[in-house]
Amino acid sequence: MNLDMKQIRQLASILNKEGIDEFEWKDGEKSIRLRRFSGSIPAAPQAASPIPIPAPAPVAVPEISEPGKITPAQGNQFITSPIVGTFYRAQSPKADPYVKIGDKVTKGQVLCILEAMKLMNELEAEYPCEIVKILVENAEPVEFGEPLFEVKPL
Amino acid sequence: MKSDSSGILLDAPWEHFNEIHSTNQYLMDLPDRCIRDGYTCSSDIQTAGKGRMGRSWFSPSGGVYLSVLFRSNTQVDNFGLLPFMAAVAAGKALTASIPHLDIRFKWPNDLLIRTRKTGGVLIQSRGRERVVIGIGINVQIDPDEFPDRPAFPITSLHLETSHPPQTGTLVYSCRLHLLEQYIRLKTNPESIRMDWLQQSATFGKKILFTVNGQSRHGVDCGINENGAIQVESGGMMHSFHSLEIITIED
Repeated sequence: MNLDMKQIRQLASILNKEGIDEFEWKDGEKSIRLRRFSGSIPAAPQAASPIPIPAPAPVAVPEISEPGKITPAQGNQFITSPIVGTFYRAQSPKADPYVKIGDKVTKGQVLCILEAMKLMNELEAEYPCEIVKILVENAEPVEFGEPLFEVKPL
Repeated sequence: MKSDSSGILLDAPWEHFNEIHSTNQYLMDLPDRCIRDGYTCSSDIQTAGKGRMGRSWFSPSGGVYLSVLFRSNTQVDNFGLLPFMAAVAAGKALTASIPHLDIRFKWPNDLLIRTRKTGGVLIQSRGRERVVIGIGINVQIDPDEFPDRPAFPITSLHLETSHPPQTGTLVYSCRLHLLEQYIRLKTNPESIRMDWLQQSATFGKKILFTVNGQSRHGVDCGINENGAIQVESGGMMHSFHSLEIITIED
């Protein structure tokens, strides 16, 4: 039995929905393990020492996002996050958001800021489109590949 | 500057103004046809200096205000370390001008002398080929003149050393080191990470920090290969791409 990415995502969604923390499946030499990840990993014992040793990056887990947010409506597309970071809808807390639902944007128009390590990354529209849904709240953390906007290409 | 590529960067345009709205914004607004690796903008004064998330950066006469544009893609490997490269470059520029100055970094790229902030970095990117790194350093502005009281105490080079460098000398040095470290980041990113860790103000120390609006205590356990800070807090090891260090607790 071979699992493709779509099936893995479906499996991850079921795990997430049912609150199952870990799932492992083996078939001969092939195996897959999915683990729910909250953004934290247990501290390594040495981390409590006076000079902590840098920890390895948390293990990336296949996307376990909320079910129902995976597929855009027919004819629409997702604009996804190219980085792990924080999503900001405006240049500053007092500024107007770059885009609102219903806005028609041109290629190259800035849609949002994604901040990581205080690098303010302005995400541009790669094609003309209409903003149908904004899928992330302002100032929320986002994962690599996470859908940010549902858009209708124009 | 020995390699050909960095030599080419040194030849990039450099525009200096007596006064400008924002050196970063000037380079962000350059038409695509004009952009070139190493394109530099500096000014004696900024009238609308920019900090993070729309905050203003107080920029009267007496400071270094310098921005350099790089035609880089922030989405490729190594560029998670770009903010740290900027800090390392600014640190090298400062210690080249003031040999015994003990410059420390507060994650990811605030510049500290002892525990007081004397400079910072703002990095903006747009599209796939435009990254602008802005460096601001307080050379001789009285901390009492700052209109907003920042969370971290501030200082100036003038207060910290009996012979502060000329602002123009420091601007030149910052540009030179940014161009050099940019080349180094491409060829040896691990050395940038190690340099940064050696000058970290908080590595191995207890810190008070805020993340998602909540204050927490933890121990700074360094940065990973992508620049994310590793913090032990509440018995767990956390990896953050965004947080604010409020105080160093020991």
